[in-house]
Amino acid sequence: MDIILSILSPDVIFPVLFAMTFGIFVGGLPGLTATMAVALIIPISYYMSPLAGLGMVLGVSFTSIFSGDIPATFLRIPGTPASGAATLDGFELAKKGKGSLALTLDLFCSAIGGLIGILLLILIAPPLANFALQFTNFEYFWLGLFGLSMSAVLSKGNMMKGLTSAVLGLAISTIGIDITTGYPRFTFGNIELMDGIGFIPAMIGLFGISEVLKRVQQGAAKLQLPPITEKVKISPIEALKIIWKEKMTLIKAAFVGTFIGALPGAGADIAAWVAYGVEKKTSKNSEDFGTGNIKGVIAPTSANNAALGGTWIPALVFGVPGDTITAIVLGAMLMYGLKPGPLIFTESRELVNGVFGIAVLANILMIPIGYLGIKAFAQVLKLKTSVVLTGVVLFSMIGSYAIRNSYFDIYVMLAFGFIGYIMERLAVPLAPMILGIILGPMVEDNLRVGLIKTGGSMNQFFTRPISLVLFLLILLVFLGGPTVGLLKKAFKSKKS
Amino acid sequence: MNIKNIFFGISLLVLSGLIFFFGSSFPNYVVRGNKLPGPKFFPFTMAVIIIILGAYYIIKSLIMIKLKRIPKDAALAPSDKITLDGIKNVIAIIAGIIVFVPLINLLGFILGATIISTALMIILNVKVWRSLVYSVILVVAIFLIFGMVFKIPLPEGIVVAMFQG
Repeated sequence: MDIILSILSPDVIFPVLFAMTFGIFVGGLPGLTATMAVALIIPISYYMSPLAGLGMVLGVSFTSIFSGDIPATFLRIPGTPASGAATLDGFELAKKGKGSLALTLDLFCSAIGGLIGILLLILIAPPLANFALQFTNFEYFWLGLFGLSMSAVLSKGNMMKGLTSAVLGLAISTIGIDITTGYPRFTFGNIELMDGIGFIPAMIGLFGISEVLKRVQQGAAKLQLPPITEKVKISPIEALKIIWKEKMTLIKAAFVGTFIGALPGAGADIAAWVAYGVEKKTSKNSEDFGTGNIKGVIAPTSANNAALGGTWIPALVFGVPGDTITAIVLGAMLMYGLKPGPLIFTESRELVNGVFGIAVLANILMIPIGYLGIKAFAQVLKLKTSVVLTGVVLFSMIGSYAIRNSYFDIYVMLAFGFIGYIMERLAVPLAPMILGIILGPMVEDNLRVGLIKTGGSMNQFFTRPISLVLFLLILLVFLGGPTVGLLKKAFKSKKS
Repeated sequence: MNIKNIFFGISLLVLSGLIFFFGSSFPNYVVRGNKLPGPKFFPFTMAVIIIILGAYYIIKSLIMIKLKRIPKDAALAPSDKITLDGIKNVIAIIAGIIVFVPLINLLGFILGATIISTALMIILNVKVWRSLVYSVILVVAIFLIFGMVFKIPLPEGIVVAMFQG
């Protein structure tokens, strides 16, 4: 009862509603990602209580993932990467004049999929946390590396570039005072660098400013979006009837989405594509997919929101983020003085329950807010992209400054924005770098403490059962794909 | 893309060189005569991996150039050509952020941020009067959220302080 009251208190529910509306706005604008929405809300949530702040992050992530589907359906431009799969059948339905139906289905499926993801999180996370209590420095070292490896392998681009991005993030994480010896590393006498590179300005730079630079570099001609050709009409009852008929598609996609989301490094975008692929492969009418099949709308849109619940499983239980959004969440939790990991379920039980409660509420509230979002979308697109991008720059600068009242952090943000811009031009994914910055201290501390415990021997890292399993998993992550490829090639050549 | 990858590989080698150069002065960590992993252990480990990765990109790209092949990830890099207009926009954004700090220190947040915002919008082809209106709305909204609600000390500016005496 106390939890419900604290969730519904004005200082929690109003910030969450604000964040959800903000998420609809940012997610709905093509080019502005859900990650960017979360990154931009963090400086505001920092000044809230941990419950309200984490609730804001949850709210903004759910609505921004959904609203990314709005331009995906009407314009065939995914608002966020997680909406990529929603363009296939959603846009085909919109072309047939059924855009409103597609989006209403999308909204309900996002909410129901999100709820299933959260319920699975509530069911799976606590028992998994009990298991994680057996972990020591040796296991946490491998777990951190496992999260980074997954993120490197699953990122868009080639595996080596993902790995490079992660290693660069780990190297950046060494800037600042060394925790074990108190020695300042790579600070060059700058007091502002003693605490290390600010996570928030680095993240805002990588995901906010680099995106702005990428967009403005395309020139003025590409800074305006095409107009919508259809008026938005909503028929919720018809949509609900269709969803009931296709309930197995929704449930299957939500389970697939949660599972994919729970894999460290895999997020809502991969979940949506996998769920779409699974549905297409198992469907009797697979040839209809891509021509406006309703199942092709239900599967990816349920999966991408369900994945959000899944991404919180490794984040809360092991302190290893499931995707970029939960990487930011981990940073936010550390800001609040919370330590993600199995002990959070005993030490901050009330807060964890509150976060679960807000997640459920956010998915329910997403339906009315989503409706308004669909209606407001046409108005939002009337805003010139230049205006929105300038707003992002202004918000990024003040958001970076606000965390520590530091002008230096604005320049840190700019530097990371430029680094991110260059990295994208070189097809180097950004997400592993931010994960490297966050997981760097965890990996380094556990490695060094482990080595100190064993007097410099690496034996324990390989001989403890869970450590060994995690090490083998990392090998599998890197070598599994190429080995299967080689075997297939060998098999084919033998056959021919 | 191969040339870009060579440039990337060289940058990585330079970076690892810098890590070794600046990290060489870090002290060793010795406890009761035992040499344990100290402050330089992890950065140097990363630097070694970065060298390997840098060398990998350079060697692989040189081989690809010789074989006249394009890397698989070339499709993921933005294919748009960099135009003069685009470069102007990128420089404007970077310059705007650099100038932002001294300007808000001098003129205060509201005036400084409005000037930067308006200038950026004009450069990005928004009409002057619209730029001004949108900028005022944006800056006031940010001021209300951060300055009034969260009580972040936003700079009032040297000029305002002088007038206040």
